[in-house]
Amino acid sequence: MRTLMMITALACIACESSPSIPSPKDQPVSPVPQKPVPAQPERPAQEQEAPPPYALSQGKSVLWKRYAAFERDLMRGLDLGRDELCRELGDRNCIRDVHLIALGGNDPFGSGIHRPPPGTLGTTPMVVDRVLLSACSARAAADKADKQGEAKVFGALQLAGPAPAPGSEAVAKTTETLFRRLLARDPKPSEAALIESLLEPGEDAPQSAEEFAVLACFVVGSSLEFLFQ
Amino acid sequence: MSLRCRVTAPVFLLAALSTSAAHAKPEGPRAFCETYPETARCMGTVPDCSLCHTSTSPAAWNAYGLDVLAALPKQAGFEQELPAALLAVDARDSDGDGFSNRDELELGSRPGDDASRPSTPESTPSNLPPNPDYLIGRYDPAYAYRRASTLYCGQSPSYDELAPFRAPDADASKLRALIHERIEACLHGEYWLKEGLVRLGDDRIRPITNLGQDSKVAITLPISSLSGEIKLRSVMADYSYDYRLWVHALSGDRDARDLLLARYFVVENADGTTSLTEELIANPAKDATAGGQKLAKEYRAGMITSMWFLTRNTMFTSLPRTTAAAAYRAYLGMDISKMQGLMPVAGEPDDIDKMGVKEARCAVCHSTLDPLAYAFAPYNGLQTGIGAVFELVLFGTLNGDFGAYDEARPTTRMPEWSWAEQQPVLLGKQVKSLREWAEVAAESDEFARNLANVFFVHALEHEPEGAEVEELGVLWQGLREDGYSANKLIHRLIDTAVFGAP
Repeated sequence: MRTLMMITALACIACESSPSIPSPKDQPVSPVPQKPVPAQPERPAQEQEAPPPYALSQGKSVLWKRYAAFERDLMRGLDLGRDELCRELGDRNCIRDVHLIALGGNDPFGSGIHRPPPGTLGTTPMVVDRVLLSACSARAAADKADKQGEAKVFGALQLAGPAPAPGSEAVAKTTETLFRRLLARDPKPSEAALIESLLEPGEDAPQSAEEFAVLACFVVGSSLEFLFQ
Repeated sequence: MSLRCRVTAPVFLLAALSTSAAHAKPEGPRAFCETYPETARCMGTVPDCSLCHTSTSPAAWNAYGLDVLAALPKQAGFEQELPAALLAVDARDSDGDGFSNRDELELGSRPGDDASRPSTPESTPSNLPPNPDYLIGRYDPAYAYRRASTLYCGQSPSYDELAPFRAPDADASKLRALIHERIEACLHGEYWLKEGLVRLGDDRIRPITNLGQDSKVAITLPISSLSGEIKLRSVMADYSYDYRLWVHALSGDRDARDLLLARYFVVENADGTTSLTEELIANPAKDATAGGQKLAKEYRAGMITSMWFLTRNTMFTSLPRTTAAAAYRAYLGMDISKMQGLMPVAGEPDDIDKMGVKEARCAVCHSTLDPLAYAFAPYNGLQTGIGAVFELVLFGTLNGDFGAYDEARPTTRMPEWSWAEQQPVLLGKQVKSLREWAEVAAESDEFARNLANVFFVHALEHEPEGAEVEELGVLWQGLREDGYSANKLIHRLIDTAVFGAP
């Protein structure tokens, strides 16, 4: 009986918690990648809100690409191992160990959360930014360190040098590589132009090829098309 | 105030005053489905109380419920009068949302809630050119491929894998075949079997790490055994058996009814593979308070008689209501705590354990729940026999009989228990045992519907609504033809318009 009482007490200690979850919201489809906030001035509101001149889906057809596919798509796209994508404090896997819920997973064993959140959380955007910047930076650093000419993603750039010139072959090739690796398609001219625009003179413009690589990777990776299905 | 409000308010007031002692009628859902058996809310389920009520105790009604209430002659019994009253308000638009009650019932929305309307996607304006990236409103193979690959392979298709879908003259039937070929491989792959499908089981198994087999929480008892100090890890059961059965039954084209019918355990071999055994499994850890599986074969019923399921849900209760409700929710898709699946049994609840559930506000649910729970009464929760106490005193170990079968348990715990009176009933059918309970459940429309719904919601992240309910109906009705294979269900799901048409 004493044992059972002990177990009862422990059961109470092990009570589960459930997170406060906002209501799910449909996300708009956008074939155009989002721009990173720090790199570009905001476009005029009128331009952002103008509906595309073609038919749009009317149903609930856009789904969040949750942690597992987000992780695996980044691993394949940037040719990085699971633990190379992002580690908090150099120790904990960002996706699996620290930000799992914000990325759409659930954690029955560590947190007693048995259901994934129905929609993105308030912390999801910053976590996505965190993981993407880390992963893109890791890829650029690895390619920069490559001395064998086997850079996986940014082989068209001289990563130790200054930012490439707009309109250069290196920019076009890098854009194509990122689109193919992360979005599984070729870029449209308007999308290639958007990547080019990162190099427009200004105080936020990348100074080095490595900075450009990270920024371009972030732009494609943070697009709605990459983050949603 | 609109005309509608002027009419509704007095009716509501009148209803509230004239039925001050009224309460919701749990017979309502059943009578509703006898009237409208082909509507979305009656296909493999029954409607919950919120179809008519805003509150069940004290009773309050939404606009539809008020109209039905006003149409009841109140001369014969409620269940007898309800069908005619329902039909009498068919043509009305009780909630004023522009759709008749009948249309809303047939299309799966709520006739008493003006925010709930049949989904009628606006047609794409004909003057707009086609979307350059998606086949809007039609099955788009590339879109379906990306979605299916993400869900069942754990990653999007690569640039090369999508090459056939970019070809301008691609044959649609060949593209569909490619999708199914790829997904079939993934359904046997590591991601689905080790992660995707496993996570789908979390909310049904509901593990607690500190009470599972790997618990690191140690208890030192304030008494000693003849062998010295008693220090044990707090293990209630090993839920990895539950996870393995969940994955086993829902993969490899196996019969998903084994979720409720398996008499075997799925064990993990040293090399990481799994195999089946019908033997009892001893607690493998001497320092744990429980472990293995202790239920004799004849009493087993898949997931709902695992040691974990029984101990986690029954704990110390005499009548395992929580256990029955958990089984009803997880495998038949009806949550009694949300007043779903109410099918009251005449004369119930008997209140065999003196919990006061005969009170009207409790009886609404307990007239269904208690007969469900009777079948679980002979199964132990956190309870052990005298043999284990001796073992504890002599050797300082505890091999609890958690989740074991004990025919005498009901009468020991509830002195007024009578097997003649405490007749288990599931879905309106009397059953003799939990095993029979599981067999009725596994053959029911509710089980098939729930199984299809699990995969539907996983894939589309919302409950089916409107026309989607019909697609769900086709899916769950196809399960029987497909031998209850979850894999075949997924292939059918991928082929639906709701899955593949953006």
